[in-house]
Amino acid sequence: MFAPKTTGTRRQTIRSARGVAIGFALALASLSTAAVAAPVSIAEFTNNGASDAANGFRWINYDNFSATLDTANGGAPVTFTFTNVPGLPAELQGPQAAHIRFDTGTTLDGQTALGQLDQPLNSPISILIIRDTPASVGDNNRHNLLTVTVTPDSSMSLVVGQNDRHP
Amino acid sequence: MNASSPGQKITFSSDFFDFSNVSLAAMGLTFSGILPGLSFDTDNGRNILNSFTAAAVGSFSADLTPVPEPGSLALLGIGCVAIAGAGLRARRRLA
Repeated sequence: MFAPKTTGTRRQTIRSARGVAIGFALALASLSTAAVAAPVSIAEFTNNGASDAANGFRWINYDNFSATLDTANGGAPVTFTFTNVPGLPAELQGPQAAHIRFDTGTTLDGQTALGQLDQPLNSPISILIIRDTPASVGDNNRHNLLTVTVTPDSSMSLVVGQNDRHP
Repeated sequence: MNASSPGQKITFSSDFFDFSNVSLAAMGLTFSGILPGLSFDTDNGRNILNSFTAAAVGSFSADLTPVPEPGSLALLGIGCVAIAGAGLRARRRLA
């Protein structure tokens, strides 16, 4: 039958148990490191350089009391691409023909500092990027590629720019 | 133009991907072809950008790593307790 374990055998067993425990702890540590991953790009768009009011973005100043930043009714045509989004069906991989509807605004004054114009915004930013044709997969109407809302706070984003022709 | 969280509250949604559990969301827009250019209107004692039109390129980013669920954390805790228990038992056997 089985002979009782000697003290040396017990020590060996304990050592191997410790080895397993240390290995397990290291595996857990690597898992927790992976869980604190940095943000990655998930999507991008371009309106292909169209800068007119119908196909681009328009900042409209209303008698210098307020201003809006938006796109034309019906949105501006864009090329949209998902990036680094896992499990996307083939139909949604690569550039997608879409329209963007953008809307925000402000009632705040801007300022110039070191030749740079800073214009704060105090209205929420609303972005809808709608696929031109419905996909064969997805939820709801299968058009909504990405909807983004940004709620303002005390450090709300700025429109920041520099203009060589009008410093 | 940039916005990011923490700071601003940013939410993403889509018909094609569940973005409800993302964190560290951010977005940025770069304008080009700005016509007639950037300048301030200082009428009425205010200082707001004059009207312009522009083309734009935009990007969106986020951490898509799922936040650990309470069940997963509980399993992790049980695993740690089990390892500690095994070590204690081995020491007692040796003693």
